[in-house]
Amino acid sequence: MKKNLKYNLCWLVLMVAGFYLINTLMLTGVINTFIENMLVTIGINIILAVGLNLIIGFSGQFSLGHAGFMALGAYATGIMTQTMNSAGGFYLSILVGVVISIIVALIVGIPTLRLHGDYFAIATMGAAEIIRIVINNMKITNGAAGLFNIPQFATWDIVYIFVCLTTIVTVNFIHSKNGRAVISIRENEIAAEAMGVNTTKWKLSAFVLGAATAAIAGSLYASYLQTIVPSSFGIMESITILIYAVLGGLGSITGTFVATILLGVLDTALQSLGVLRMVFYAIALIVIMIFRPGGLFGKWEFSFKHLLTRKQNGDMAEVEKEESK
Amino acid sequence: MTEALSADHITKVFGGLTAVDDVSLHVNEKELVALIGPNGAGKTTFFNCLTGVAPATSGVVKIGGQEVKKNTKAYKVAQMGISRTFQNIRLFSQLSVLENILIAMTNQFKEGFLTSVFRLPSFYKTEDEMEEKAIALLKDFNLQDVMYYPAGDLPYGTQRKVEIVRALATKPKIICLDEPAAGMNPEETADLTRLIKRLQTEYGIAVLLIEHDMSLVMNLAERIYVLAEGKLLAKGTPEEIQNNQAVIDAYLGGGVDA
Repeated sequence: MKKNLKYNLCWLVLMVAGFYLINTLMLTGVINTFIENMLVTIGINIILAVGLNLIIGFSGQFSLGHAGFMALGAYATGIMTQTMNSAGGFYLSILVGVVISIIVALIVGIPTLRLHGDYFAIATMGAAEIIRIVINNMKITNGAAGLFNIPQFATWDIVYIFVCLTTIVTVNFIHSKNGRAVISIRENEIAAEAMGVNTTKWKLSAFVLGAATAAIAGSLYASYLQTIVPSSFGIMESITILIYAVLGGLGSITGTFVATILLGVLDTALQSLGVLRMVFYAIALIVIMIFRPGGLFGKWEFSFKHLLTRKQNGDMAEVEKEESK
Repeated sequence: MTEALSADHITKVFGGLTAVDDVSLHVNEKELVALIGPNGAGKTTFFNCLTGVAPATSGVVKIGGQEVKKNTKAYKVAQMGISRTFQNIRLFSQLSVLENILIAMTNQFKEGFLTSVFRLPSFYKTEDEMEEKAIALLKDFNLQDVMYYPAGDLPYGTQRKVEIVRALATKPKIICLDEPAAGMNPEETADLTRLIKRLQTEYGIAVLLIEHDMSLVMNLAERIYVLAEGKLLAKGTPEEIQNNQAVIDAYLGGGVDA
């Protein structure tokens, strides 16, 4: 445990430093509401893309229904905070959103996770559409008009903390015995099964964890924007999240972060160009996919452990060999 | 002597084709048994029946005396103590050799979701223990130099070796090897022969082997079963099989003037 303390401390320092950097810039007025809006959107997208990357990049199940789980969280918060107008009510609504999302993910996942590749993608896409259409036709959700005047509890700092928390949970899950079982399914499902790995269980775990974080992102989205309509949780939203994950590299959380931030900034910077914005955005995507077909970072992961040990001894493999002795 | 594996009257039907027809076989503890036969004889299908990948249409499989119930999933069958390698290598090729071994050890250790997510002290303890065991195993087979390389980047012969060690890491009662010497040169085959022998002598594990390389089979196997066209053609010691007219006919396509 002690040997990892140093690296964990590095991460903690990085997270706290990031928080204070944004806080200071905010106080000095460098970050105005326009940029703050961008940062929060990026933060929410990071939560969504990291969760989707867990499902697609690590367990190898191609899901196209992420927006559906986001909608569950968003509506849970939207509906509950209107009657429970307090911070406590907000956090309770996040929890309720997560629980509903987990239940729905189990209902969707148990029958569909035996499907492979395209078939699973279509099934999850259908499930997300069902969620959207149900929301569209319910009274409590105010139908297609959506909910507005949702009290704002999610400020940038709450979003920042949730980005850190969901990422820590996801990354720690990946780098554990259970995470290895999940990755082994992506690598070779038949071999994983022959090694005694319960493939259905671990595929489902990854799917459920991804869905749970999507619900959290949805709650933050609803509370920050204060307005939600069913049409914002359609297939295009799922595709947008997919773009972040694919562009950064399926199987790299570092990549997801970089890609989401990059595209978020690009999106805001190009806003002055009006309709032309989408053309430049698309060109940027095409260029990246041509020169980095595996995504910006492939499966590479930033790690303080590798960084620090390399600095000391030159060669990573050497060090790890030393350690093992 | 107890049996590591027994298969009773196994039949596997695909539509109208009977791929395996009423085959019975048993492997004693710490025994090395080979299963041979011409191409398309049903050897791999029989393996798939044993390991639960494609459950048999009828027949009973017992692993370490315990009956495998109908419709048991392949991973449950694996947990009962049978492990295997594949005819075409199936490593987790983008993961390191060490991770390949760690995944095979999944079921020997307990690690809760919360312990791993919140990195409680017990998480580091199990991880260290697992890694220590995996590295010891790799050292035993002289693979410590390649343990941080992606398994898919290794030379063919080494990949075969890693696959066998990975099968061993699940702590099975019996290992089924599906053509381990396919595509190997004589030197690599000799190496492999020693490795398989070690599974039996040092680790006390029974081995069931499918192989076309007759020198390897005759060197290693204590008993041989011969399959042809889905049926059990002959069984016996290597000497008996070498002199069995039916086996020679099946392999050389005789029988016209027999």
